[in-house]
Amino acid sequence: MRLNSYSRREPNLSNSHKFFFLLLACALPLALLAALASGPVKLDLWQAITSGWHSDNSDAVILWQLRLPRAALALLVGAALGMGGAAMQGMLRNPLAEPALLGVSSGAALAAILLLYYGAVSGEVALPLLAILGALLAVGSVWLLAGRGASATRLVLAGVAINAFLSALMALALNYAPSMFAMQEIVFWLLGSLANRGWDQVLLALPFMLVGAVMLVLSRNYLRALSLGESTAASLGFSGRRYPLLVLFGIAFAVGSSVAVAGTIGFIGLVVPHLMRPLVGQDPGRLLWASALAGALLLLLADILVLNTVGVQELRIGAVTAFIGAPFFFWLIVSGRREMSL
Amino acid sequence: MSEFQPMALHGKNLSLTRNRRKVLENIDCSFQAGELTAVIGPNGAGKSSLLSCLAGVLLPTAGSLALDDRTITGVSAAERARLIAYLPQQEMPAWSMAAQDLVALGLLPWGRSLDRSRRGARVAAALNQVDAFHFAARPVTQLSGGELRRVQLARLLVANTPVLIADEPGTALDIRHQLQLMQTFRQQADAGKTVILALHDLSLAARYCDRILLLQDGGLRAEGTAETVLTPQLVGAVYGIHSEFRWRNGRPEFIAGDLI
Amino acid sequence: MIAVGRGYAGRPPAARWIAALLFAIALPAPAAERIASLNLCLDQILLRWVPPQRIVSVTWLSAEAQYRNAPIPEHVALNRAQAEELIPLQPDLVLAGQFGAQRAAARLEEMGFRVVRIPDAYTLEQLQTQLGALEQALGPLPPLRARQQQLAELLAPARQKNPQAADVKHPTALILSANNITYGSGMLEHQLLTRAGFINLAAEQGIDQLGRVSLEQVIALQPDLLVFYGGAQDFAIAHLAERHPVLKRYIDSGRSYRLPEALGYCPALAAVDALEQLQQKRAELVQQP
Repeated sequence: MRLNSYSRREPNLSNSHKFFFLLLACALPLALLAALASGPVKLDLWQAITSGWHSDNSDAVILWQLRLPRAALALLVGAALGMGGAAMQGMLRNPLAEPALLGVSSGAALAAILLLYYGAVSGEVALPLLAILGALLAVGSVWLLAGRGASATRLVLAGVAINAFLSALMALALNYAPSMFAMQEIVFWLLGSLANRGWDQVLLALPFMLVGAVMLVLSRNYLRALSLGESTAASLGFSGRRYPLLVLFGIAFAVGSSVAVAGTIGFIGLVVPHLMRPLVGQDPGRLLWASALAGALLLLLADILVLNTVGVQELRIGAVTAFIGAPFFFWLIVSGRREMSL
Repeated sequence: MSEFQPMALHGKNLSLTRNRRKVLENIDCSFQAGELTAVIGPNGAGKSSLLSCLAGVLLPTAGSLALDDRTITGVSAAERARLIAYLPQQEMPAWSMAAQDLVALGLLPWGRSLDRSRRGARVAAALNQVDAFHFAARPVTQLSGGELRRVQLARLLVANTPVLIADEPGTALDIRHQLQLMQTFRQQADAGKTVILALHDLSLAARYCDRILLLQDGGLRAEGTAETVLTPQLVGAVYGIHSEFRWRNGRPEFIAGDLI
Repeated sequence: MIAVGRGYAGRPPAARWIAALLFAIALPAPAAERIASLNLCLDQILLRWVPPQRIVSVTWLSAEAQYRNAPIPEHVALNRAQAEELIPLQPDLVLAGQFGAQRAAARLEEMGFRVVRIPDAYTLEQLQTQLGALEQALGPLPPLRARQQQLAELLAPARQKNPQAADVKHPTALILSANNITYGSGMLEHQLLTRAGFINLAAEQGIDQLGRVSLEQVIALQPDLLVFYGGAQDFAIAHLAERHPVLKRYIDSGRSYRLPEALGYCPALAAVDALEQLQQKRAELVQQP
């Protein structure tokens, strides 16, 4: 009898959680509509949609060539950062891990800066590839420096050191860049932006993001096993370098390709996995796609806020996410003192 | 997976060097199906290292391991995980998952070959075995140390692997649950499993185990039944305490005395 | 619709007047033989129109690849606008801009050097004043005189035509500069557009100095000519907008024009050529069905 009562409880996604995910999935198309309706020009949205992709009507061009790619990029970058954050927290077994905070994004940004401002190579594909390499080096150093299952303090210290160093290098690289706009563009690389993006950037980043997502999804069972520590994970069949490398590469692909097209957007990878974790029964595997979904929604909402904020300069999207994320981070540190997991 | 194939585990000439320090030196050991073996020895003797090597978590620097007559190098990590379950001395869950979800992680090596209801039944049975069923749905961060340890033991048992390796499984347990735990391992061994435990409590080792391996400074000092290993001479030489071994009502009993 | 930026070109008109008056009153000085410049634009003017043996020093910026048109002659010293750098060169004329390097100019003046401040030009009228002031300071220079005449000729016919006349076709134009900046009615760039016969859409939107224009607005305003500004050869996020595929049809159909970068920091060098090219562009556009 006990067994029966147990197996009825077994599906770990309770009904209320399922309802929540349904809500999340419904919110996405609504947010997408809101994003398409937001912008400096007033559009007849319905007419623009129905006149179709190839229409020369300026409303249609604005919708299909300007607003839709921007919204698509927000969704993709948000999903990649959410998933990357979830994977990073899983890999380091630490809820304070986040690609931008620990310098992974800075690594990607530094590589992108070196290529873009100095690069003799104009090959488009070289940009995400190099950014991925930069992210890989950064996430690899975090992993080696902070070690496996390091204390939160050690992890954050290592991350802060790497991030500070890379940010300094970014400023240095921009300082000596030939373009006279370079120095002021440190803001873009530190706070990100989705302005003036088109389908070319979406198509540039998408394949690499997909590769990263596949890698992370393939390592979901490793991340699950890793929640019991490295020894136990090894005893459960996840021994060898293959699995950590798969996660490191997955994070680098997801974060690197995001940074290559949108700059550094922080805190998505911190806030989103946190909010989603209770909803997926703390399962690091399911957390991956839940964070991708919520990350996409959060970044799109942030961009809607950016689009509807009036100002001479467009508000930086990284500033919006930091505005949400930094107090959250602070709260995590304070509340973490009381918990054993930190 | 519900039916397991009894399996023996053999270690030959096992040596392990970590940070240029010899942790294990030329250890020959064999663990038969149906046998409950205790690995004992003072702190730093190499118990945990030996168990890690046996579980395949650490790669010995020299020597070889075999499951029945197959060398371990011929067994994939995934297959090895389906044959050997291992509980390290310290295992902190990183996330505050429900106890039942932690136990279900023990079934990871089987992936999708188990359907949800069979998985649920196995998890429930394992939780029952360690008397942890009533807090199955509680998050592990809300459990006491002993309760958490029992949940981890359920994780060890849930996959019904032919070989069970646990490093000081009784730490943090009250005396009743320690006895219950040893009985559980005894039953597992009686059912044909190969059970290897690192133990500090020599009286528990004496009472429940078929065989005892005594380690000292990375080497195998003695091996055999409780009666042959837990002699006052050996225990005195290795641990530096007076002790007594006796039979009472047909059961072996080890009593620790004063320091030498 | 388009956000209006403040600052940049707003200069105190009184100062301009006084400067212009001073130069009008001053008598032509004997032609200087050892000329030094403390200003990038004046460097360029000297290097282009004055015989090199008369130049003793220009600013270091002029030697940078970005601004250099030809190698700087070896005897010309590079300065960083410090008085100490110029004293040993014993220039008989030091040219300074209206703003920048004022401390060095004042010190040199105190020490008895002849320092002339050439006013900056933010409109075509000011440009003529600037060229006049240069002639006053440097003495008669044939290329400079030719430039002045060219400018006057170009301006004259455009003035005769009434931009609002119904019989003349006026295509629209919009400037999309780095960082989505556009130029309104108070700017030299606007004058060039209207003199060339275009209607500047940014001015129509009520922008009088610098404004911001998003790509959406560029598409919605549908200018006949899209005008980029400056070189995009060095990568910058600032140039991302003009690389957007949505503008491809403008570039492919030849309905785009790029204002030279020099127009921004030294209109004397580039204004005439730019105006000619814009007029040509307009002629092409009007011919198009």
